Amino acid sequence: MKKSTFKNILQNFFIITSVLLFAFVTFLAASGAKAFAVRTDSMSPLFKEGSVVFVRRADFSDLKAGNIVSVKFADGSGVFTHRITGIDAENKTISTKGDNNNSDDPEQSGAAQIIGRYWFSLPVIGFLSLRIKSDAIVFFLIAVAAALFITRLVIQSKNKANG
Amino acid sequence: MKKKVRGISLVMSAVMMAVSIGYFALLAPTTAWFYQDEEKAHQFTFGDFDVNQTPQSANIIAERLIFPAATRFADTDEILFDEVAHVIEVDVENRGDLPAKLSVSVAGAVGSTSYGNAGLKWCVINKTVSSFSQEPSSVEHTSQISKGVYKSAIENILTSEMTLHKYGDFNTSDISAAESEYESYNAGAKTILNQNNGAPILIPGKGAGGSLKKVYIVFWIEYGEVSELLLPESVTKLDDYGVSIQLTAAPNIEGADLTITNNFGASATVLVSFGNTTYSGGYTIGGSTFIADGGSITLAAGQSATIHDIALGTFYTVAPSSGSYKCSDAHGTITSSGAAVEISAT
Repeated sequence: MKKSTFKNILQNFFIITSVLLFAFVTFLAASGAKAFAVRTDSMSPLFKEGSVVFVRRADFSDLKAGNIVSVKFADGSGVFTHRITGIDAENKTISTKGDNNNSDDPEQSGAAQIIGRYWFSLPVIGFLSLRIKSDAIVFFLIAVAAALFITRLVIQSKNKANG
Repeated sequence: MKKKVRGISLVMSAVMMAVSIGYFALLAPTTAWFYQDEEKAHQFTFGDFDVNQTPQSANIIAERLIFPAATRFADTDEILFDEVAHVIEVDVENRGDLPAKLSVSVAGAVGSTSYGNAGLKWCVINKTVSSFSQEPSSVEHTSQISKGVYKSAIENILTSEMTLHKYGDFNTSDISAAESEYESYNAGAKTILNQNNGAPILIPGKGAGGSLKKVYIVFWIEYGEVSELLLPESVTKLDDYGVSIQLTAAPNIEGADLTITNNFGASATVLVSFGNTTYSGGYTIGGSTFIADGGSITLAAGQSATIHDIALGTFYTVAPSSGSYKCSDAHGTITSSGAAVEISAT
């Protein structure tokens, strides 16, 4: 295979992958879904540490026992994603439990704490945020973008110089 | 032209890829119930529970309990959070002739407000558990042990001849039933037990040869109050969570004189004063049981005892002999020189 043909194939693959991935991310953002990286195995085997769970907003009245929801801790210190084991419609609270835990979570959660109901999850990809510090990632991405931009400029000016 | 379009496409693709990667790389975590944040995970101070000593009472043990992290008693697989159990080892010596009943209570310290509720649990074990000597290398205090180890030790005790003191009784013949009872206990009202809760521990008199007993007071935390303590400033919450451990000997027949030494070096002496108090239930000296005040007891060989029949207001002594013995009114020491003797009120 010619070198240039192989190069074209690679570039095409990269372009298609990027477009598809970007389209997927755009779709998620437009759908209003929120995503979280799963840090523990409390909901194993449905989703394990390193997965990404996607949740969408749901009215409290639409929630049922057995639904999986992402919930903010009462003190706002974080988020957990567990299964609803009971609903107190009068007080608008839910009881939750991790599938892999032995009993219910120690506190009930109010409707205002519920971020959304489980939509779907993807494995492994959550490790990206769990393992790497966020500022390092931002720096890396900016560096990559800058490198690409500069490379492009250099190539353009080279082409211009060569006529 | 074609080259230009391709070039622009590549750059645009790179930007889209970077944005997509950035989306996944910057996701917030969803955690278990008790995590705080990643940076703190390995140095997580759940809360410091200060065990205060009240100067007026010499029989209160004071110590500071530091729990590196905490999780449910039954959950033993969360690696970061298993160093939770604090074991206070107390040596109790009864220098008196008669057995004493040792009661353990954990009370809120002066000034504590909402303490005593969810979070801190404790129980008393008076059976030696060899695995209590195991310590994870990361703990700061020698009394801290791995909760996983502790749980195994407790399970071993529950399935053997254990005496686990709390309010209520465990079913010790069935580990799963015992665990279920324990879970009910943990899920129940999380109030500090007072002295009237929990069965007292019998400390035999010195004549019975078993006056020195080890009593283990085990503390751990269940999540429930965690959120209030999920702060790096939890050390400032000391005053709110102070507890005191009080060991007392139940009013007993004269002769009980307990010295209580805990493994932190603090010691206290409890003198059981002779009081006009009756007690119910069994008392054991060398295997025999008091029936009631004024009733009959049997002493094993070599034991000495002084008996006060509070109801009748008389003292009894027994001189060794064969057969049954008539008690005199003199107050003295009863020593059996050989065969067991029986004492009856007349």
